[in-house]
Amino acid sequence: MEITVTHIPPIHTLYLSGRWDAFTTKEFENVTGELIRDDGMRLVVLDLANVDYVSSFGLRSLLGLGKTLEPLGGLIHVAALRSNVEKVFVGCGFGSLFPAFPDAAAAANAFPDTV
Amino acid sequence: MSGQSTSSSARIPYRSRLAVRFTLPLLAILAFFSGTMLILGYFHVREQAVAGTAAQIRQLAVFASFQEAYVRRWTEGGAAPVVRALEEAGPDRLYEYDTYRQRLEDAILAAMPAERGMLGITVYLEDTQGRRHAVRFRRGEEPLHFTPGEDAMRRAFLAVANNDGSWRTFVSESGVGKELTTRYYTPVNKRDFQGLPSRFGVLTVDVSMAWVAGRIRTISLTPETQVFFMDNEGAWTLPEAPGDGLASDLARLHRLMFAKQTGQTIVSREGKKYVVAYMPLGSGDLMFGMFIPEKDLFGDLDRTLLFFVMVGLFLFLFALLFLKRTANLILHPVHELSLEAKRLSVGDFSPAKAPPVSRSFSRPLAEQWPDEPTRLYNTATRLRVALGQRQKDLTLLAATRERLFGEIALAGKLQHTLRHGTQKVPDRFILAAELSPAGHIAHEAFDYFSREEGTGETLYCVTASVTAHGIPAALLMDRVLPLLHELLVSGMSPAEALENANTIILSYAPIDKKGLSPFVSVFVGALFAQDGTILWASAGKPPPYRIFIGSTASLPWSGDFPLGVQGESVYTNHTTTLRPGETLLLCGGRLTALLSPDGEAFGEERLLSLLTAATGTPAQLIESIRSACFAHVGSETPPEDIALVAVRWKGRYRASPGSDPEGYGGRQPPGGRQGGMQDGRRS
Repeated sequence: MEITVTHIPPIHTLYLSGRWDAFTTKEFENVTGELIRDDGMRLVVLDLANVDYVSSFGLRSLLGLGKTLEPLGGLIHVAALRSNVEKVFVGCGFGSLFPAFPDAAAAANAFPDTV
Repeated sequence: MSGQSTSSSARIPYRSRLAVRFTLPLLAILAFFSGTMLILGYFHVREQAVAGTAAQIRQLAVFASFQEAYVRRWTEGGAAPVVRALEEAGPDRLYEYDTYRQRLEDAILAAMPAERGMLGITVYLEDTQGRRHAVRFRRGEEPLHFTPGEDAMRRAFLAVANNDGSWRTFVSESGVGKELTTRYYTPVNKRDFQGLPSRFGVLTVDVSMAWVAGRIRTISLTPETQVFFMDNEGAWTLPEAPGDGLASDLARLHRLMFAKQTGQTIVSREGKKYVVAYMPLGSGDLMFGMFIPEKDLFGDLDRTLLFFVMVGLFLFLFALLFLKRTANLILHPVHELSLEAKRLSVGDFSPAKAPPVSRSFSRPLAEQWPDEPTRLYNTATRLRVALGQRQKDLTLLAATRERLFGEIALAGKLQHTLRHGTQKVPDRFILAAELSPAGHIAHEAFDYFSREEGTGETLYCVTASVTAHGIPAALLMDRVLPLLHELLVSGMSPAEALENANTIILSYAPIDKKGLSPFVSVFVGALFAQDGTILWASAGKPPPYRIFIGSTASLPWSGDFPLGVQGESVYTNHTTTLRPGETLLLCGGRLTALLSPDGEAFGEERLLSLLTAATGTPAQLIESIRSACFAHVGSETPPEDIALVAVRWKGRYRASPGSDPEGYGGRQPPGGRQGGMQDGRRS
C-alpha cells in the first residue's frame, strides 16, 4: 500500500492505494502515528479511491486511528470509496463511526468550522 | 558472536601483519648483517688505509732517495776542502776564529748545496778522545742533542776508525722535532813532524731533511705508525726496545728487507704485531720502512670503536631481552586467548585460572591499570559469562520452542477436533465443510451442530474469523466458537448470541495500547429443517451466497459491527428461506482477496461464475472452489485461511396442498421465532 499525504492546514489528506489488509496496516499505523506526533495531525481525510480491498485488519487500524484522535479532538472523514470497499465499510457498521463522502474535497469541507 | 564479519578483501593494518614471531628473527638477521658489514667495512678501510699509506711512503721514499743521492754527491765532493783544511790546521787551530775558523767556515758555506734552505747542515769534529768540536751549527739554532743516535754514532765512529777514509752515511731520526737526518762522516788525519799521517778524529756532516719528516708525519695514520731507516749492517733509526737484540723477527726483517728490497711482512716488537712495509732508499744499502700496527691501527679510534661495538652489543642483547619480554607480554595473552577460545568452543564455561598480578605495581595500581593478561582475563571472563548465559538462553529457548510446537500441534489438533467433530446433520440437509489453514493454527473457523426442538430439527452454522495473528488470537478464536455454541444451544437467537458473545469477549480479549481488542467477524445462521427458513445474524462477516440452478445471489450485509469493536453493539436477526435444493455457501472475505503470483485478486466475479456453474453436491462445490483457489495462488497452502461451509436444503418433509412451492410460505421459523428471534433490528 502506498500512502501520500498532503497538508493544507488544518487538514491532512491521506491518499491510500493498493490493498489495506493485515500486511499493510503496520505501515498505515506508522505513518499516521508520525503525523500525529510530529506534524500535529488532527483532522484527517482518508481518500480510498485507489484502495481495491479492505480487510477487517484495515478496519481495525482505522478504528485505532479514530481512538487515538478522539481524545485529541481529531476527526476522520472517509472519501471516494469503491463499491466493493464501501460494501465492507458499511456492511461492518463503520459507516456510523466514520462519515463517508464522494471525494476528498467534500470530506474536507465537511469538517465543522469550530474544530 | 556479533554479526560483524571481516571479508578477505578488507584492509588489514600493516602493524598487524608484522607478527612478533617474525620480528625477532628479522631483528636478529638485521643485527647480524649490520655487525658483519661494520666489521668488514672496518677491515676494508684498514686495508685501504695501509695500502694508501704504503703508496705515499713509497713515493716519499723515491723523493728522499733523490735528495739523499744529491746530498751524498755534494758531501763527497764539497766537503773535501773542509777535510783538507782540518788536516792542515789540526785541532789546535779550530778555535782561532779570526783566521783559520773563518776560512773553514767560508769553505763550508762555499760547499753548501743550492737547496740548503731546505736542509739543515751541522758540521762537527769528534777527536780520538771522544770530544766534539762544533764546526758549524745551523744558523740561529742551538746545537742538536744527539740522544737517540748516540749508540749508533759510536758504532759508526768505530766502523770508520779503521777504514780507508771513504765517506759513510747513516740516517737517524733525531731531535725534538724528530727530524730525519742523514749523517755523513769521514776520518780526519793529521801529519806528525815526520810527515806521517795519524788519525786525528772523525768529521761528521749531518744533513737534516725536516721536510721529509714533516711529510712522513702528515701521511702517518696514527701516532702508533713508526717510520725507520735501516742500513745494511742492521743499524736502524728506531730507539732500542727491550728484546730487540734477541728478537728473531727483527733479524728476519733485516734479512728480508735487503734480500727483497721491496715488500711487506708481519713483525713482532714490544709484544705487538706490526705490518712492516719497506723499500730501498738511494743505492740500496739503506732501507726505508714503516711499522703499521696490526691491531689498534687507529689507536684511540680503535678503542672508541671497540667501546661502541661493545655498547651496541650490550644494547642489542638488552633489546633482544626486552623484545622477548614484550613478545611474551603479547603472545602470552594471545596464547591464553586461543586456549580460552578452545575451551569455550567445546562448551567449557568453567572459570579460567586467574593471571598473576603484575609485579611492577602494587596491587591497587595493578587493579586500576591492569596489564594485558589481566585485561584479557577480565574480557574472557565477561565473554565466558555472556556465552554461558547465552547457552542457558538458547537451551531455554529450545525447550520453549519445543514446548510451543507441542502446544501448537495440540491446539491444532483440538481445533481440528472441534471443527470436524462428528456432528449430526438433520436429514433434510446436505452439509459439507472444509478448512484450508494457512498455518498450523487457523484464524478462521466454522462450527455446525443441530438441535431438536418442538417444531423440528434446527441446524446451526457458524463461521468466524479473527483480525489478529498468533496464538493468543487463535486461542480467542477457539473460545468464540464454543461460546456461541453454548449460547445458541441455550435457546438464544443468533443476534442475542452475538450480543452476549461480544460482551463476554470484550471482558477477556487482549487489549493493545490503543485500547483495541481483536475483531471477530461472525456469521450465525439457524436453518430450520422443516421449511428451509434461515434466521441469521452477522457481526461484520461477509454475507453467504445462495446458489440455485444456475443463479447465485448473496444475502445482504447486516451492517453490524464485528465482535470486539465496542461493548454496546446491537445485532439484528434476519430471515430468509431456502428453496428445495438450494445451497447456502458460507465463506469469508479472504477467499476473494487471495492473490495470484502475478498479484491478481481471486475476486468476487470469479467466485460467482464458479458458483453459478456448479451443479454437484455441496462437497463437490467446496472442492471445486478449493481447487480454483489453489490453482489461482499456485499452491495448496493458501496464504490465508479458507473456511467453506455449504448447506443444501432438500425440501419439506411432505408436500401439503396450497403450500408455497418455494417453501417460503411466510411461516415463522419454529421454536426460536418466539421471543427474541424476531425478524428485524433489535432495539
